[in-house]
Amino acid sequence: MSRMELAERLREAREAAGLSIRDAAARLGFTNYQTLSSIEKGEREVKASELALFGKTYFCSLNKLLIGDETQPSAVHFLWRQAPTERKTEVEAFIKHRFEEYHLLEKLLGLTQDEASVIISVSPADVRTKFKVDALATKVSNLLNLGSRPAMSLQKVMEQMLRTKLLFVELSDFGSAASTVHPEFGAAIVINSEEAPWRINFTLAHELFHIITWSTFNPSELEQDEALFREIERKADRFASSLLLPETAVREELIARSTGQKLSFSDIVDVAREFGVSTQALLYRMANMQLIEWLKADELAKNDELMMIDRRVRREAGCEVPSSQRFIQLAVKCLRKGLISRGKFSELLAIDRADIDEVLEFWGLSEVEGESIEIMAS
Amino acid sequence: MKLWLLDADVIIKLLEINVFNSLADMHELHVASAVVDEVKYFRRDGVKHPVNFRDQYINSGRVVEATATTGEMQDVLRRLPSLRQQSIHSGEIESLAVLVRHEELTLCTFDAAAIRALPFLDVAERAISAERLLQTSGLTLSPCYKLDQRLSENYFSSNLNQGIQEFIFSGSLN
Repeated sequence: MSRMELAERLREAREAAGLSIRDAAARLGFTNYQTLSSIEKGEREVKASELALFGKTYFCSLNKLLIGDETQPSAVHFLWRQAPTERKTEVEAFIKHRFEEYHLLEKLLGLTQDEASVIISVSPADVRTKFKVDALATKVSNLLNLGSRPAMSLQKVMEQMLRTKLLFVELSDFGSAASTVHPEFGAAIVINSEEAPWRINFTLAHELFHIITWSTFNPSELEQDEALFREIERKADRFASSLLLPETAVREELIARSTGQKLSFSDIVDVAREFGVSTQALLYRMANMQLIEWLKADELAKNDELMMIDRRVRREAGCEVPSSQRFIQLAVKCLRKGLISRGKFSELLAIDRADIDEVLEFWGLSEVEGESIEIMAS
Repeated sequence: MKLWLLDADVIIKLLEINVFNSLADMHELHVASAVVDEVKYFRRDGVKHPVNFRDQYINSGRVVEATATTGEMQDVLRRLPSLRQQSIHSGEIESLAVLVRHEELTLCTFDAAAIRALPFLDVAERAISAERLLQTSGLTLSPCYKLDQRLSENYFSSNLNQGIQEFIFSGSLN
């Protein structure tokens, strides 16, 4: 490989990451952008230690920089719930890189997309009305055996059964969630890890709608047509609400807690927690189940006393930092089988080398495979 | 012995079991630049000990630092099967590249993926397990430390055998 070839790959990688030469130079720690400019012109040698930093800054692997892509990768189209207003290319390059790493773990373990369970196909007619969307949610819930408290198992089912790649990333102001269905790495969802758990459940269910209707509504068209996008977003919200708050189970729970057909604010908050959704989500679901008026739901969603009870109860319940269980499990499995190095493992999970053993112990996972036992064919 | 410590884990573990300084006194220790900066702290008896490896060992001349060129790293990657190229950390790739260049170095690692890569680079014969290193150096662990299975000769040889099989069946011999 000539210095020019590497220079060219570095320039392409920077551009793919959406970084200007000045921004990239600053992130790489160069005192001025001329140093990076010299590297990209092939005038200055790249040190081995700098290569790792280039990979990290440009969200690409070492072998992509040193060997290049043998096959032309397919473009990834992300459908954002609320698209980043700035640095979109950079955010998407980062997310794409994380999904590629996720897919690498699957490939190392021989898990191909074909083995993933196939979910139902949906036609535009299947979601034409809100009642049809409700029916779709019930159908999906039954197919996936989500039970009467779907939020409790939705993430696990999506990860383990549907093999949907979930990533929790601190998106801050860059957007709340995005989904894609990629020809190579399949269905994938990225969620802002800073969201509260009950909001994450709703976002997951919302994004599940986009995943199962990916071929039904062309994502590129949705991005071009604001009115159509808003309509599909409303359907996705309706789907999420129906999926997470099954009518029969919600009615039973509300009746069980009511006294003389009256519910206290605390009861409403408790039921919302029970179903793993926000209090607002429950109120609007109660409205579409015709248990309260829409105006009343709107009014309650803004009620100071109710929101104060909600905040207090949620604060006391505490919040776990969300993580992709399947990604962690695949990484540990690859480590156990000697398919990735410990250095790669710590890089994938963003932990320090010295913490690997402690982190594995915390998760209750072992690095050692142990003996194998034979199972009988039934 | 001119000893090449392949990755940060080896250094961290040897510091943890309190034999690193003895090994530095007995052997000429070498590490790759990328590895130096990855050693930030180690744990001993449940306590986290920060370590400035560069100051304490490189700048003081107790450990020799070496760097690979991008060409050497590319050569290492090309010799590995395509999935394995992506499964090893860039610091370890640099480390393997220096090892290939310096034929006089004996390598120590207990990283399964790195051990399995050795046959592809024709450096397997220059590698030893941490257990063997401790034995040949006459070092015994304090009774409070039980030898981690990953440091054992058994773990090392079983992964090396796996790597040899992968190498043979990969068609790299042709």
